[in-house]
Amino acid sequence: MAEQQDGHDDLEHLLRAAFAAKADGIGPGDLDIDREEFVARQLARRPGASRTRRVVAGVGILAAAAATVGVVSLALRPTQQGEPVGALAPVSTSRAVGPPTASATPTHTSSAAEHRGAAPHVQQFSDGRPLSTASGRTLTGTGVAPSSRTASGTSGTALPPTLSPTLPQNGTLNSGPYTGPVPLGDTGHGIRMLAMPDGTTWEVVARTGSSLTLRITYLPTDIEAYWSASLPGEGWQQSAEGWQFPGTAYAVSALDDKATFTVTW
Amino acid sequence: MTVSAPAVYAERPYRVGGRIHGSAISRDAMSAGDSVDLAELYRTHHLQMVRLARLLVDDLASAEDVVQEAFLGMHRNRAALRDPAAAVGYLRQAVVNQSRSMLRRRRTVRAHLKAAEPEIAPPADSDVLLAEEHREVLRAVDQLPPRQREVLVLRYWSDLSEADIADALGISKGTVKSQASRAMAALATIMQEGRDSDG
Repeated sequence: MAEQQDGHDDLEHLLRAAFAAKADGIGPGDLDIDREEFVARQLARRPGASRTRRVVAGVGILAAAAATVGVVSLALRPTQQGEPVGALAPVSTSRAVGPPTASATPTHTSSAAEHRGAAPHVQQFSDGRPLSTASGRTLTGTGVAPSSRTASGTSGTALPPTLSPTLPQNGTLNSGPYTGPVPLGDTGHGIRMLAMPDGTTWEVVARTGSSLTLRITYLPTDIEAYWSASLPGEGWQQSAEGWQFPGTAYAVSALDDKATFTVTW
Repeated sequence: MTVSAPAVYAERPYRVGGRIHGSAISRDAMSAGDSVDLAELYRTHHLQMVRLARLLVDDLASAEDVVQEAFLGMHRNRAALRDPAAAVGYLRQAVVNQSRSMLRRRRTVRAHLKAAEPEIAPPADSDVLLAEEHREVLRAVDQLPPRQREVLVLRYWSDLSEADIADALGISKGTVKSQASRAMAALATIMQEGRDSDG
C-alpha cells in the first residue's frame, strides 16, 4: 500500500516537472508579435466605439430609407392628368468613388449593392461570429459588395469585399489551418477578402509580399461551383487562369491537382 | 516622489493560507467601476494562457490561436462579464474549451487527409529539448482521453483545486476526482508498458 502511494507521489512529481518543463520552454520571444499586437489593439478598443459606429450606421441607414421612401412617394404621386408617373427613375446614378469600407453591421451591407442593381453578395455573416467551426482558425468577412461599381456595371474602381477589421488580417496569418474567407493583401484600400465555402479549411503554404499560396485541407463542397455562383456578383471575372478582379491586381489562380491555389494583389 | 505599488500578477497560481487560488488578477485589469480591462488582462495573462493551451494542443501556433480566440470571444461578450474577479476563470475555461474544440476539428481534418498524407510530421516546437523522463510522461499524457488530460494539466500544472477544475471543465467535483484517478492509473499503465517494451 505504502509502495503504491510512493509510486503515485512519484508520478505526480514527474507530471508536475514535465508540465513545467514543457510550459517554461515557451517564452515571450517565442510568441507571434504581430498577432500579439493585433489582439492587444482589438482588446484596447472601447466597446463604446463600436456602439457609436453602429448608431452612426443605423442613422445612415434610416436616412437612406427615408430618402428612398420620399423618392418613391414623389414618383408615385399622381400627375395633373391623374395618372402615375410611368417608370421609376433610379434613386441615384452617381457612384461613390473609392474603396468601400467595412460596415459595423454586416447584415446591412448588401443593401447598398441592391440599390445599385448589383447582385448582392449572399453570405450569411452574423455579428462577426465565425462562418464555421470546421477548423482551427476562424476568419469572418463582412460580405461588403463593391460600392464603387459604375452605372454600366463595369468595375473600374471597384474592389473585392472588405474583411472585417476585427479579425486576423493577411499580415497576421501563420500556416493555419483556417476556415472562412481568405484575407487579401492591403493595397492601400483596406484588407479585401476572397469568399470561401462554409466549412472549408485551408492553410498557408507560401507567401510573398503580394501573394499567398493556399492549400485546401477540407472541402465540403465544389469550390469552383461556389466561386462561379458567388464571385461574379462581387465583381470578379473568370479568366483562363482562374479569377481576376478587373482594373486591379487582385487575382485567384485555378485550383491545381494538389488542392492549392494562389491569390495575388 | 509617488511610488505606486506594482501590479499584482502571479505567473503561477498562488497559495494563501493553505488554499490554492486559481490565479491572481492584475490590479490594473480591474478598472474603475469594476469593469474588466481586457487589454491589461491580455498583457498580464497572455503568456500563461498560451502555455496552458500548449499543454492541451499539438503545437505553439495552435495554442496561440486558441488563446487569441478566447480573448477575442471575451471581448465580444464583455457585456456579460459582470464579475471581474472571475475573469481569469472565464478565460481559462475558454482556453480549455477552445483547445478541446481545436483537437476535435483537427482529428476530423486528419481523418480526412489520412489517405493522402498518412504521415504527419511532429510540430516544429516538439519536445526534443526536454529530458527523456519528461518526454516519456508527456507522450503518455498525450495518449489519454482529452478530459483526463485536461484534469491532469489543471491539477498538476495550473495547481487548481478540484472545485476550480470542476468549474473550468463544467463538471462535478466527483467527476474531477474520478477522472484524475483514472488518468493516473492509465498513465502508470502506459508508462509501464512502454518500459516493458523497451526492456
